[in-house]
Amino acid sequence: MTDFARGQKGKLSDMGCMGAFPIVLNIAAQGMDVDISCFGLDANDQLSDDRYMVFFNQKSCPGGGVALAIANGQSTFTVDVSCLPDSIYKLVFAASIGGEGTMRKLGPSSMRLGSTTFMFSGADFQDEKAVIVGEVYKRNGQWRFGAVGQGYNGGLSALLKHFGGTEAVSPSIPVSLPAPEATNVSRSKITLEKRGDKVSLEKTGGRGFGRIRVNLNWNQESLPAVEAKGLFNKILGKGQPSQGIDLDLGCFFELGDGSPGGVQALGNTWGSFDRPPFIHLAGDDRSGSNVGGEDLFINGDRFDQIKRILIFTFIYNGAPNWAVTNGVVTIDVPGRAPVEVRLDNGTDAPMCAIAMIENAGGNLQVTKLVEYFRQAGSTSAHKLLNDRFGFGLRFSAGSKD
Amino acid sequence: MAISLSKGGNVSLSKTDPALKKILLGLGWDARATNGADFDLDASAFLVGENGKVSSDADFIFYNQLVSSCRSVEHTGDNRTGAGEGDDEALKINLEKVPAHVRRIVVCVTIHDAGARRQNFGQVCDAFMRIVNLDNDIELARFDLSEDYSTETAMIFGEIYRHNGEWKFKAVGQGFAGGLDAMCRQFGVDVV
Repeated sequence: MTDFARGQKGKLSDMGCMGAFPIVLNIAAQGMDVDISCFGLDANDQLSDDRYMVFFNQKSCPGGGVALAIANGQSTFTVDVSCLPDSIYKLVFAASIGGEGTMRKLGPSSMRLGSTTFMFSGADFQDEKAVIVGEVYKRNGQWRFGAVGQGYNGGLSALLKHFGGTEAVSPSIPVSLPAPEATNVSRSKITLEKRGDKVSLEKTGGRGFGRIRVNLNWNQESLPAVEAKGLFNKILGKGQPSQGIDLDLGCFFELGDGSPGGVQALGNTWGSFDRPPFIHLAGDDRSGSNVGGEDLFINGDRFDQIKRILIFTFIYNGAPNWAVTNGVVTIDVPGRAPVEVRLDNGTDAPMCAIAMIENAGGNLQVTKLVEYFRQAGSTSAHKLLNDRFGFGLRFSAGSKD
Repeated sequence: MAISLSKGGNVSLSKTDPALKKILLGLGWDARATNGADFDLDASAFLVGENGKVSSDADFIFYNQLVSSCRSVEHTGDNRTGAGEGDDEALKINLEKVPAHVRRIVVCVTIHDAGARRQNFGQVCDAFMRIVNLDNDIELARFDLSEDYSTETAMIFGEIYRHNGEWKFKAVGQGFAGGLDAMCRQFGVDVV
């Protein structure tokens, strides 16, 4: 075994790393929320292809050159450089802290590959929130490993910037979303630009997921302003300025015992936080004037009772299409990056399936859907949505009034 | 157009510019652009004789002794962070004033406090050394230390040496463990 110092380098072949080999990172996080990511960079040290960022919610890259398994605080990357495209020159393994704390607090941690171990701890750092632990890179046609142990106070966001990654732009509307930290913004940018993307949140320790908040908000700022109102009425072609946009947030659920149901304002089915279905819709914002929008709360501490939840939203009244609503749905699990879906599609199909929240073996998995539905003949959008995702619910037309 | 040398290469400065009298040795480097402890790299020069040693400690030019006793070599000052473009540290040499017993001027860069800060040349990139004619500011030769350095804490960037009555420059790029102390012993400087 060889102990590497910071800055030390060597050839993979000298370390006994041939074919597919494991790179194991053990991080003594001391209670902090530390994530390990692998960035596949091009010849200019840029993350030119997001698919080559491998981390807790994208566990492998195309071609299988890097695959991640996380267990008990240990991250194991299985790396086979021969499965990487020629355009990838470097795999950077980085640790980043979400939330409180800095790398100064790290306990004895290590990165191991083949016969090489790189030990590091808080004593090596100051106020960094993201550090490059080590990198596997191609030089003169040979793959090598370098122990780095250097980082950024700005966290994952600064790291991404360093690699030319795209940073998400904050929402353009002044909705009262919980202000995500910079790291969260960039993380959600990467994970949620494409539909079908999954975010898997592992259950930490014996705790549940806390109070999960699903928030729907839309352009309430347009309404009080007279000028905006005028513009609005032009779009809507209506003479009643008091008529706002009424968007509804709701869900279909399937509990662990297989029983299905729905929680929504329509039909006054508000659910319950403490009793099944452990999902509660906190009020109905009829105009968008409520600064906080509409909230649906999921009791994450009872997540073991829940099999899956389909979050949807629909235009109840007042808007011809989604683009004018500036709607944003945010799924906020305590201590985790918010999952954000923006309803910016110009479609006039009034119903949108936002995301599926699933209990995947105790882990909470969020899959972004963004599928739009409209009534077809006598079949309601609700029914189509139900049929699409197989909840087995029965419907009759409803009104809130 | 400056001559670009690779490791081990050399060039006759006198032939490149027969009127050459005063040169500037510009040295540059970048520690990786991260936060954390600063990298303080120091340039130094050893004026050594035929035996490869200094004749006295006065022939060792570094941050605490910026000018040689013969006044032919002058260090322009310590840069503590390596920040910014261009030369991070520089030495000026008046070739005509270099005493005859000095055969070679060995130019080194060492990492200050490397042991305590656990730093090394594996964490430094884009290091270079260039030779400029001080009379007209024309760059004569350049050496980019593009090798993939590792745990070295001291580095001989290059040397200016006499050969058959000419001044030549050799691109060395040779690293050492042990920092400035080890380098001083190598060239016969007494270290307290």
